[in-house]
Amino acid sequence: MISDNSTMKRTVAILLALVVLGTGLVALAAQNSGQDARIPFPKPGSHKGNWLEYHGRAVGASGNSPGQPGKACLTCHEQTDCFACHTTTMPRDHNNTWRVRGHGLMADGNRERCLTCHREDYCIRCHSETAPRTHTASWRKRHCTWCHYSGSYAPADNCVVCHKSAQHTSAPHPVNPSLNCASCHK
Amino acid sequence: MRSSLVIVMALLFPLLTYAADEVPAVLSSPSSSPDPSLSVNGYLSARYVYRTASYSEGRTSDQDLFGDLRLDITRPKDNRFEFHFLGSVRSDLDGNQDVSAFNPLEDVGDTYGKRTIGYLYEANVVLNEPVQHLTRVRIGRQSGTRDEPVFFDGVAMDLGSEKVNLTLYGGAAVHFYEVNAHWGEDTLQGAGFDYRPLPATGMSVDFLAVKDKREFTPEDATIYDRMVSFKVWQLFEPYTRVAAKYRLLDGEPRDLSLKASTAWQAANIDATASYFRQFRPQNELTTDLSLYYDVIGVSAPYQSFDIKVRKFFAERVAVDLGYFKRELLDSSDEGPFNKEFWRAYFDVEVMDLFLNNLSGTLLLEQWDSQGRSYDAVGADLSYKIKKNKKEARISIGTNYSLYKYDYYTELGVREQVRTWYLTGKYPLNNGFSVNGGYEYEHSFEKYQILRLGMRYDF
Repeated sequence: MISDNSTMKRTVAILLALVVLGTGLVALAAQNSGQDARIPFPKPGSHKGNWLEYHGRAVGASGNSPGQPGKACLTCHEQTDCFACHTTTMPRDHNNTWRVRGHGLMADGNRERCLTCHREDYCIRCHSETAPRTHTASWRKRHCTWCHYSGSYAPADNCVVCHKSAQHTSAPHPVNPSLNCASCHK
Repeated sequence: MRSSLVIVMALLFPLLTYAADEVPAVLSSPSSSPDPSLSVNGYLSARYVYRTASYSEGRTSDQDLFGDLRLDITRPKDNRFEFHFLGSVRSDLDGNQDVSAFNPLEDVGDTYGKRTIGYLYEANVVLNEPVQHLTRVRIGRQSGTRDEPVFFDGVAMDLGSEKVNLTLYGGAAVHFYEVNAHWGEDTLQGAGFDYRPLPATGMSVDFLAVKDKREFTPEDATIYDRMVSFKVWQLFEPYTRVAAKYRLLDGEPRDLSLKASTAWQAANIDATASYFRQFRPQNELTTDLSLYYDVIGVSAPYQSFDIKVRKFFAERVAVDLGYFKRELLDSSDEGPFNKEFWRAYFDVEVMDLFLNNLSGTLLLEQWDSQGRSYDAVGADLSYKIKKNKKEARISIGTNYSLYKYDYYTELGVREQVRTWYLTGKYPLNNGFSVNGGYEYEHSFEKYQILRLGMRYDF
């Protein structure tokens, strides 16, 4: 836990800003109580059921790309609606277990799908500033065999995702997990 | 600097108030010619999120505060200008920023070494037809200018007419997560030309140049990429569209994508088929165009096929069928980060199941990778309450996720994740609504998430 005056002040400033915004918007709402809703007619028939999960294909079908006709979505939605939602709402499969364990599966299988929302700096920032789940307190003792043991679950590729400048890129000799690496490698 | 977004958002408040004063009022002065009224749309949302995780080495928790502000200001009468804003702020309330050890609650949305972090996604002024043949000028932070999803601080201009359009744009590239980024070091410039010889036929040519100064690793330097793309499309009334796109990167063929989509309204069916082919290995590229080389290495050439069909029965039952296949052009390229696999799925959703507004979804899927096949079943049940036009909504349900192909075999990345959730939203007067939710995720770790929020749509 880090708790100093400056961060506390920043948090208070944010809360105050939100309170000010909220209060102002209450006043705004009171003035605009008769204003029309943003979309003044019923939703199209296609927007039923689990529409949110399938709207992506309709975007293509309606020709909403820049410079193209149709733009059916833009009849009601702003162009920025796409970014507003996609930047603040994650797909349903991005749950916590996905975040911690599963997202690499999709990245190696279908990078183009990830590229719909995520740029490379997104991955690098997280991988460079957060420790993977294997890096627990005892990790230092276990990492030799994890990375170099030629058994089924020792993909060195995993290590070099973050450790590109490691001083050795392959095990200097066959690794035997029954031995204690620390007896020689101080 | 990050937290300055909060201040920007707060400073926008007077603008909102001003705009509100002007809607739908009209200046009373008889000499005023254009209607000065403004239309202000958007939302302000704030939510508190409390998360806990129980795992083999203990239990941890995290508290965050999120704020989002979206503004779209237009002049409906003459549509001469628009203003668009989208910003997000996240504050870590309990200040746990220790990155030296694994924490199951860490994610890319964290505030890193700071207590507060903000992202400004859009803040631009649009001038519509300021002069003849200059149809639009957009100034400020923007995205979605052309097909490539790039963010930049700069200017974009559209020139032309109904049949011909030329877009010119450029400015400082925005990389939201780049380590040691300095504004203005990364730049991009682009141009796009659209021609529509017939109302249902079009073609486009795009050029995009990106300069990216990278500081991720010691050998990083400044990278330049130039992408040229050609696109043609054809609409067949009423609902069929075919499109093809071919891209060259730095003078070499990069990829080809073909897509066809159609709908048979009478039969209540829509279908999409697409094909994608990456011609060459993709190595290190600029952040805007990279296929994650710095994280997972070279992307080997491959092709993929994707087919999706959806049909409604009697307005209450929706059935989806889908198939996706990815195959490497050279199977010897297969490795930990270049995979071949296929996935087939079938799901059925029944609305008003037993009760009005009760819907159930069942998902069956099969994955196959490296000769191994995995089956998975998922289910979801949701119930909504709508009363007295208030449209209060409560959803309760569960879903199931299985992370499939465990190519690390014994390590077992197969996960069986059961999530239970309860969410609700209650609208108050004048666009205000409060919302909340609780989620319990059961796997090797156990996660609980509590969300409490308010939103004002205007």
